Amino acid sequence: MSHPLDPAALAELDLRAGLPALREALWKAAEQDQPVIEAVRLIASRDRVALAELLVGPRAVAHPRLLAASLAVIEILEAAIAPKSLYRRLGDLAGGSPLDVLEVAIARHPEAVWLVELSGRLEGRNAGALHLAALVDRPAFGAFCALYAKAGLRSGLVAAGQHSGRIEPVSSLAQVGAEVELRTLTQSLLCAEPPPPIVAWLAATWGPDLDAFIERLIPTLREPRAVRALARQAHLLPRSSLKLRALARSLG
Amino acid sequence: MTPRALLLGDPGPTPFVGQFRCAISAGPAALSIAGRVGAEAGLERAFEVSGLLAHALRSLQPVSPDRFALLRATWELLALMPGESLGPAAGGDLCLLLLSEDPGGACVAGVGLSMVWASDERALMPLVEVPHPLLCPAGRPSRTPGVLNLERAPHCIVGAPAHLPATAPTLAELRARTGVRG
Repeated sequence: MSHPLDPAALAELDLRAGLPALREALWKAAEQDQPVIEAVRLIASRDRVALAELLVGPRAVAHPRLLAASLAVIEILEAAIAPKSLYRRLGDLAGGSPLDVLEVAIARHPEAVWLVELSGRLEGRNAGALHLAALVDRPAFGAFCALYAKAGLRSGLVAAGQHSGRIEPVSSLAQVGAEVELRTLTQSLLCAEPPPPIVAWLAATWGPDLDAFIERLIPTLREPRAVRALARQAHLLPRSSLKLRALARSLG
Repeated sequence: MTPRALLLGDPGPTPFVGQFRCAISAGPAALSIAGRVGAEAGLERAFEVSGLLAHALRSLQPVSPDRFALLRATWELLALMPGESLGPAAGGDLCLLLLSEDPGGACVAGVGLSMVWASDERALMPLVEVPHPLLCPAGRPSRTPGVLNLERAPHCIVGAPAHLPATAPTLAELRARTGVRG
């Protein structure tokens, strides 16, 4: 009797009736690290519903080694299942490689709002960093910064701001009052050459009483150029400008 | 300390462009100011214009230490400021809410407001009814505006800039809508 994943056997098989045998065969092949992508492609070409049953359905073959095969036929899976549910399910089945799923989702649907939730589920501590890095040259970057901030996914916003040098993560963090993350990002951006107009942005987003925030920021600054940049930008703030001028003078 | 005079921010990602707040005291009298100017000039220029105006207001020198003198000194200072120092609109977009108080009572004055509410930390109540001279278009006044006298100052007063609808925020959203942190 031929193997169920053999191309000739697959071509003859009633796929929906043969799902139990296919599940077992796929599991064994994955366990033994045998290639399955060709068999999966063949199934995909014949019946996308059977394919979805095998790879992402409630009784899917939950083996992490099948992830590459699923991603190889992702267009066909998307035709069977709405992308939001599909990538969420793939993430659940991904074992130790959830970022592979997230990267494909981002590449295929860069401006989908559901990516915020997916990033939160799959990216861990830095949720949003991958997605925002992919969006940095798109007009939607600022809107997604705001969505990540509102979702409480702030570390990824800090990373995105640090890597891009863009100001939108600052304003998004300010709007949700995320002071600790805002200080971290502000410190980094003040070291950029030239630094973006952070203090003006903070005034427009954090609110007009900036002195207290800047006074708490000053002791956390480690770089003389950050102190000098902040002193230049905050010269109209009555309390912190005095402290910053004195500090900048002491740095020479 | 919570500021005593607050302005609502705009909807959108940069709600407080051109806004400033400051407090001045003169003996037993105190003045709380919330303002907005130069907002259409762009975020950086608005920050500079509003910061310079706040800086000038902090140096107010009233002729006597009472609530009326503080208000008069504010309007006089504004009248003397060069138009270009108030942004591209030369102060034509100025919104200002003033709360002055001394042991004898409190006064509210302003320009460029569509509504003013008083807050006692439990509720937000309209301070005046529409129409009212306190509710007037934005811009430097050509004459010294009138004063609304109160027996005592409320916990804080909240103004809606003239370009915003006169819709009261809820107490729960008041801090976020006015940029009060901490």
